[in-house]
Amino acid sequence: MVDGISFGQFYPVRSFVHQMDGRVKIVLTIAFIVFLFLATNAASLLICAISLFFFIAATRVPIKTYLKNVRAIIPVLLITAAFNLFYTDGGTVLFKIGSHISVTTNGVQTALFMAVRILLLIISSAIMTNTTSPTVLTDSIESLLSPLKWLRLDIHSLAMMMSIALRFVPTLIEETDKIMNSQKARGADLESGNLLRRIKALLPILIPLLISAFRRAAELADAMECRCYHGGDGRTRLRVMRLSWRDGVAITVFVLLLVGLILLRRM
Amino acid sequence: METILSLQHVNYSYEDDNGELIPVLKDFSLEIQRGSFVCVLGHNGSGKSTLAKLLNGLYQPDQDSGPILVDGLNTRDEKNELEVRRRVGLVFQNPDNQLVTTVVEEEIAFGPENLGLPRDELQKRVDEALLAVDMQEYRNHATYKLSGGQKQRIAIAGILAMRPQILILDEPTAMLDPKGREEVLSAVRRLNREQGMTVILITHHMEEAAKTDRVIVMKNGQITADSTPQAVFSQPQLIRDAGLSLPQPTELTHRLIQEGFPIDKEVLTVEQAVAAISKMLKEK
Ligand SMILES: Nc1ncnc2c1ncn2[C@@H]1O[C@H](COP(=O)(O)OP(=O)(O)OP(=O)(O)O)[C@@H](O)[C@H]1O
Ligand SMILES: [Mg+2]
Repeated sequence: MVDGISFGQFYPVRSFVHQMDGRVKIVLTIAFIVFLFLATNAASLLICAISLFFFIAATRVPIKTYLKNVRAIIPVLLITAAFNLFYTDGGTVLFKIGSHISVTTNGVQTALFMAVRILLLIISSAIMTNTTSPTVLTDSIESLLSPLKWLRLDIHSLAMMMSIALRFVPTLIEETDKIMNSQKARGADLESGNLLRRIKALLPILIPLLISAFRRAAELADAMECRCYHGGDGRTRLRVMRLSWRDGVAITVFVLLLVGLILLRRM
Repeated sequence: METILSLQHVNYSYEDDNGELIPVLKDFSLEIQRGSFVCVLGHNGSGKSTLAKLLNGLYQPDQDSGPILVDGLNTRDEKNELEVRRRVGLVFQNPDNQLVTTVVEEEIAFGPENLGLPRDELQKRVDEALLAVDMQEYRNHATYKLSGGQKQRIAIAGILAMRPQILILDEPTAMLDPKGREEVLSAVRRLNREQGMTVILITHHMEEAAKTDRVIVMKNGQITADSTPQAVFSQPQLIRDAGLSLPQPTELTHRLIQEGFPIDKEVLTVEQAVAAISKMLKEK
């Protein structure tokens, strides 16, 4: 049941996007998310989708992986769309449910736009995490946030925490599966009853999971100390961050996309 | 032979929830020779992991304890901390809980990166360590997609990349299937034989102990036997007292001896058992 979630997993192949600088990928992903909210009409969302499609093709990560990433958020997508559908006024009323809720043409449009935005948002962040190893991601975030060191914030630790969290996603998913199966084997009923009952049924899964996560954390801390980890001071890197022509190309595409979006907004 | 590790009258205790000191190691003395392959056996809770963590400075011995010297460095000295950890590489039981990153190459570089080595040296260390565990073709693989045995070999490579003098493995095969076990053990044996690496193997598998130079049996934080595998396993009473069992071939020959069959006593492996039994049958 949980095996579909592979979000945030690095897919190690060599591609245009893999070889881009991690910092550029992060900045462009954030820029893209901003663009998505600048895009208020169908045409601008369409050019966002098209540019994203080119980036997907340039990752050499199988489409299957992206579909998996997307599948995990379908419920969120549907809920958001439903809210927008029922709670947007304006336009002509298409039909009414009861006396309060009416579905309007504006509602349909907003719901559709919102769903597409979320979809593109998820795919764009999946491009980043599928093509950037957690180590590089960490180093990039650290480098981007390094100005904050002046505020005496421990950016290195922050970035390290994030990369370890990503590293443990598959391990903990596997563990959840094991615990669920063993609780089911003991007769636990996880799939029926009302919401409250189901949440209650999750407790025997969450508690062992939490305990094991703490045990893992303690062991990992020991293992890191054994490998002479002592924070970011004096640490060198196997991978150095360097901008290349690829980053130039990607940034140019983004600038063009931005110009396009601004023009379309004027229309 | 040169002594590389020495513990002299070491005490270690931990504080329980009520603030009482519970001793784990008591007046513990041990010397390990450079290049040897030593196995540590003992029942659960006998203090094996504690010993391992004392040796690389992860734990500090009690105030009244004698010194722990690693290649002449006292683990108690704060300025030796990193150097002691580098020289004494420690590999744990669960490979999933010691891998820090998701790409093999980056994983192996993690230790050397912490040592602040320059980039070309990092690359060299990664190549060398991958070769040592025979996983060159996995350089760019994701660690979470490897088998248990492969993960454990990467964990070992991550330690080797720091060029330790001593490799301590705390039940490295406990979570592995027979194939994974053999992969890991043969990599470790090769390191000992070909590179003269000093190895301390903590294990619950008697068959693994049978193939080492020296077996140390621990019970309640003390050493109850310390000799060659042949000598240790020819004392079944001692092994049982320590809460352990004999390697199966040894157990078999001991039982046959009890039944009155004239068999060679010093049997450790299946091959030796076959040889001893066929010798007896032929002599009859
Ligand atoms: N910091 C600590 N807190 C609580 N108990 C501890 C601590 N350190 C050691 N112990 C206890 O000391 C004893 C020895 O533990 P240790 O882990 O060294 O045993 P072990 O021989 O490695 O056992 P196993 O075969 O189960 O791995 C155990 O009873 C353990 O509970
Ligand atoms: Mg132990």
